[in-house]
Amino acid sequence: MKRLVTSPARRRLKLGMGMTVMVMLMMSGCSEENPPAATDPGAGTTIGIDSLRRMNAEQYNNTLRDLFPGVGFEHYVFPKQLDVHGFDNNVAVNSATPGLVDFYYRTAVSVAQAVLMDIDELVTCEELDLSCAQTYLLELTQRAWRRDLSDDEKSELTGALRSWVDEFGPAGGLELSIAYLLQAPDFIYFPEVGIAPMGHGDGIPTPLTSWELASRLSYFLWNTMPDAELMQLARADKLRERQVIARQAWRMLEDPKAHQGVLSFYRQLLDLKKIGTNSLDFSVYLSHMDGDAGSDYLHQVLQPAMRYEPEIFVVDEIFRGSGKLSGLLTSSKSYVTEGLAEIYGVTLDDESAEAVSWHATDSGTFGADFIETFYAVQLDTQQRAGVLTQLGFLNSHAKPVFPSPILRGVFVKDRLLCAPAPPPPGDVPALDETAGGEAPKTNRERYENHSRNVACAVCHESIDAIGFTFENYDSLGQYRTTDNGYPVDATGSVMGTEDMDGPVNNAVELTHRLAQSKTVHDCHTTQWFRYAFGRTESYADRSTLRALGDGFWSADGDITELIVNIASSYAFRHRRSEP
Amino acid sequence: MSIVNRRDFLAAMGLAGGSLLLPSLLPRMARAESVEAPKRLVVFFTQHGTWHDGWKMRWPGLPENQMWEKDLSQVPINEFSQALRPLHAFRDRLMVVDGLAMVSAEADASGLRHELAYVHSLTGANCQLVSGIPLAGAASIDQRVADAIARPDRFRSIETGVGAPPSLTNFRAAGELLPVETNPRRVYERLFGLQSEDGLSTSEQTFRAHGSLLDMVKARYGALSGQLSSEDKRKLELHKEMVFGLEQQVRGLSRLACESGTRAPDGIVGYEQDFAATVNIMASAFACDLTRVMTFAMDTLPGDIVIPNQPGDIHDEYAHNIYLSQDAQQAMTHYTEIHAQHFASILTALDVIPEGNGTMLDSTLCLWVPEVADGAHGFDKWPAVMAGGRAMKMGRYMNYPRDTPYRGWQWDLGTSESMGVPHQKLLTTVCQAMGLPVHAMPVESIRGIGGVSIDCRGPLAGVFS
Repeated sequence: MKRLVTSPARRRLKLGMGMTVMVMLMMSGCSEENPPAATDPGAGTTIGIDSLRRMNAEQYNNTLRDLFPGVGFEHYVFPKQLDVHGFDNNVAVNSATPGLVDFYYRTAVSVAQAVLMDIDELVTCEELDLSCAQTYLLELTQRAWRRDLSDDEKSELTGALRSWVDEFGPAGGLELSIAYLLQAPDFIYFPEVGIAPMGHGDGIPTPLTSWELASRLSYFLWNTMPDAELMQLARADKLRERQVIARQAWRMLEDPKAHQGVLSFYRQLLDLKKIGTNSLDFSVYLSHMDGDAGSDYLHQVLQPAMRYEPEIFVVDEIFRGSGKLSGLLTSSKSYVTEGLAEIYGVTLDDESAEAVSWHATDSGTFGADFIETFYAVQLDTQQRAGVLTQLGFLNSHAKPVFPSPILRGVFVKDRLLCAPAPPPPGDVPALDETAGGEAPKTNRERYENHSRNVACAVCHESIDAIGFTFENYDSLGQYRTTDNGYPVDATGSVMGTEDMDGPVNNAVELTHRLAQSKTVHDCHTTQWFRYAFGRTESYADRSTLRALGDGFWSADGDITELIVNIASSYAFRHRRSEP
Repeated sequence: MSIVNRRDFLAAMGLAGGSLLLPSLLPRMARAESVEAPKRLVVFFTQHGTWHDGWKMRWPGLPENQMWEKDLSQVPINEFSQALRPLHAFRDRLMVVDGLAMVSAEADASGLRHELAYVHSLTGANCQLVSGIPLAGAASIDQRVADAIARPDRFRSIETGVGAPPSLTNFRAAGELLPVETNPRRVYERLFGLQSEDGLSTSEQTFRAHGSLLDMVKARYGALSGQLSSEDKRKLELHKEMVFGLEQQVRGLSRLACESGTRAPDGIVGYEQDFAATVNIMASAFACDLTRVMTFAMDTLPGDIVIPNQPGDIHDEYAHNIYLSQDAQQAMTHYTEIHAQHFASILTALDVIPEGNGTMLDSTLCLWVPEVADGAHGFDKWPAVMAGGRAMKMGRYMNYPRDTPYRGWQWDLGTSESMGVPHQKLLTTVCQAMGLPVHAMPVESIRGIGGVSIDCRGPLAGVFS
């Protein structure tokens, strides 16, 4: 059985250095308004204002795991965090709350207690005395705060340790010290001051320090703390060189930890946490089972598998498959369980099919303990193409009885076209199922009533035109050619874009259209930007986004290349603070 | 009377069962809690409003469009509306407020109508767009009340809920959203801590240690914030302020003696079970004066609770069709009736705990308001119910004429050019009932039809008489 997490790096990635050269050439192309400077080809680029970022829940848990290897922790569940554009790391809404501060305190105390129970495994000295505790503490704090400590910081830490050791002994003193460093802003936040002295307040971007870059890079690509190599480069102040960053980014993408970084992005972009929230009507679906059995089967067997199918698919497609956005949108290869195979209507050959044992890496809907074996299959290319036609998306963007063209259409517009629907006007009647005097024959008819009202039509025309192309899939996600006994009409169209307007016959055609669109690639670039920078793009970011978008497009939508381009961009290596 | 075990508090603070703990027991430092009952506030917040005709009560001779009040204490159960019938047992402790409207939400164009309702309902303030998300431009009243009545050595306020309610209602300050915790187990753990199987031993030294730990954390936030730019500094200063609050809380709770019969809930089980567990937690927390302000944010009721044999999607299939289908009207009336049962459970839980000369309900003002007023996203006929507390004479149904000159979206009236009384007056009423010297909410006036200035200041007429 192959494990994706231990899969060897793809050949394409081994060509990393060659790609890097291409990346550099592309990024150095400057427009007239941004003349190159001798020191940095990006100098003069305007960038949006950065604000203090804070570790999100996944990063916090990943970091604890890497900071204290071998120590068993529970998966710590954060207080709810507000999403912006679907991402939970946006600086606009990351201010502390009493519940969060309380959480950090309790968690730090609990982690410190767990660490002390295994302390013999973590320290190199024979006996935990003051000197041993001090050595470990200083080394640990450097890793936790992701930088070397100043002499003042060292003496502050050792002073506190000493007084705590006096009162509570070496174990007690070390425990409190660990609880301290895990609550410090140096751990929880990503403080950045750059190399320029603070307070010039002129809004000019300042280059980040190598330490700050090590953190940015590591949390962007790996979603966890920097490793020894990054720390070493930071210590030697090498990371400020763009070529070094690019080279490191390629190295990091070859590490299995990159899977968790990339997945964190797609989990949020594709709203995978929504999978599992649709409680189907069991008089319509899975009706061959009695009510409770159907419900158990859906919630405990099918939906967990639906939830992780796209994760495996994304990792496989990016790190072992085409590596391209078009692959994510159109590939018919997927990984399924027996239950999913049945709904897809494919035969599962679990003897010869490539098998993947998938262990959930988040605390998501189905818990951190989920482990299941998935088998590679080729789905019917006439019926399925990419993530938008996988069961998870279709099932979670549907109502208990009727699939929802609106949810499906809005999702495509918002997440893939970056054209969020404006709020519905207030003064229009709700969906009247009996408009025209007759009950609707099909789901499509039911929803078409929306567009009859002129006020609704303004927005619903473009939402529904996309949403209706998914009419071949019911609320479970099953393929259908009839609806309520009538033939399915899955025709629709794309409108309001620069390069892909026009009619399409069904969702498979739609996804192929999306995969070839510059609009979609530019939107994908914007989404990666939001994730990488933890903020919403601003007007000042336009040249960065244009360069990244053009690079992504000319690289045929190669995702790892987009990631490396972002990591080595001028914006990533600099910070502009609020004056 | 359910009260809380001291051990739980220690565990809650991370002081139980760890290697730091020394064998000697903490000397009993417990002091008796104040005999005088503290003032408290409970906010019960629901989704989709109601079907007004199934909620309102009318009596002969009391016309719709005049201000009047009716003594509820003498009203028989068959005269109670279906939606509010579960509250009949508390009729002499209730104040039903009919004729309100969220005029300010109607006048605010910053978001979807649900979002506007979340923000306006408890803040009386306009939205402030942050990265495209409408957040409140000011604190919500639960937080304003907490500013005045919360003990610095206890939990300032608890925001809890059932299901997955949209977490956009409680704001500590402008733009500072307080997330809702919907897992009763986690609410319990936050308040009372984990039960430790091997018992608890701790020492005064340990408390000192945790005090000095938080002192040091606080100092680090102060030291680092000085090196950062203005916005980053603001974030760290805010965090530091909260560490300070936490420190006071830890010190305060370590000296608390209070026993509990409340067991730790399993976690998220189901809508009704989770609600019941949370009500128990509230009662214990209040009995030990762990907090004085609590919000219950209720998610949309699951379809199978409202209509057991024909579960459907409440939001899409019923709430949205409220003006089109009698089935939807019945469903949403019953929907509100179920929430009235929930509200009654809260009142019951408070009323069985003796306190001072009466019960805990006498010292706790409970407010029930929804986000939007009805399932069609209306802001008019916004239904509000208050219960308990001592500041107002309860047992009354207050009706206000809907004569505010604002052209709101009113389904049933189509071309009507008026709305109900601005809901800021209800929020101001609550603040004043809690003893706050507050005379207006952030939105003090709105420009109505013909440029008329609509006055949103002051409390509701007649409620304090």
